[in-house]
Amino acid sequence: MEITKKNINLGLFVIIVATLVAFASFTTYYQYSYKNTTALYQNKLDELDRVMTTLKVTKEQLEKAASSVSESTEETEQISSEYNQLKDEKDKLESDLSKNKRSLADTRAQLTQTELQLTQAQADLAAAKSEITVLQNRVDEINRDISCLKSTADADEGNC
Amino acid sequence: MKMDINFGLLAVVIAVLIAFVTYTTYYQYSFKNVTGLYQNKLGELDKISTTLGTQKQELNQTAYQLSITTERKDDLSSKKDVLKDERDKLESDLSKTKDSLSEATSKLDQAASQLSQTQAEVSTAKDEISSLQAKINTLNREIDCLEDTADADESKC
Repeated sequence: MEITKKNINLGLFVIIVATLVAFASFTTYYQYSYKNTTALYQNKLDELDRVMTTLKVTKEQLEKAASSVSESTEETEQISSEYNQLKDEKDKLESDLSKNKRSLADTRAQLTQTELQLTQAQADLAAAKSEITVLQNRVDEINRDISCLKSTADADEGNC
Repeated sequence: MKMDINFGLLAVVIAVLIAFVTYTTYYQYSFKNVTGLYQNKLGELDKISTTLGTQKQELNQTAYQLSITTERKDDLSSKKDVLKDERDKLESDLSKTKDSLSEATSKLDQAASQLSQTQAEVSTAKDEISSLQAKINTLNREIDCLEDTADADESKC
């Protein structure tokens, strides 16, 4: 009876020890796993923070770039409009210049022609004036002859 | 036999077993919780990483678009400057041509006026010539008459 009692108590003691060992082992294992998972979790949290920061910076860069594109597009449209306006002005100026050059050439040709006509007319006038002088002298001469003929006897008219 | 069991030890065994179960349950709960959070963060990280990838791709596209737009703007600006120079030169040429035309027109008007005046003078001179020639003819006829007529009858000439 004494032996049985001792065996039972020894068995319980062994169970207690085994349970405590298992308890310690499980606790160690759980703590290890928990610590491991917590570290991984912390790593991912840090990584998530980094990615979030990078995403924020990238978003800012993207907004800035989009704004720059919009600004550049607006400027390009403005320059394009000015370019078209300048092109229209240039085309009009080219047309005006061409017309004015033609008019200048025509006017210069007319001027040359008129100057030639003027030179000819001046020569004609000089010739006519010279002829008038000659004719006037002739008239004076004839008038003198007539006076002489009128005042001279028929026999002496040969001297006139 | 039951009477021989050490109740103290049995109570310790039961207490240790209950503590073991409780502790295990608590650890499992905590572990599951942390694992769930970890999985959530993993999912979140994946989503954000995907978003970041998309944003980076958009940023690259936008940067490329900006480079194209800037290049086009610079090219157009350069062409505009050349066009402006050409327009300015044309304006200067047109101004010079207009001045030359004005000068030539003025000279032409002056020459035309002079020509007109000279032509009128020539016409007057021609008329005078005709008149003088007619007068000479008349006077020549008078001389012939005076020569052919006796002094007494010369008054008829």
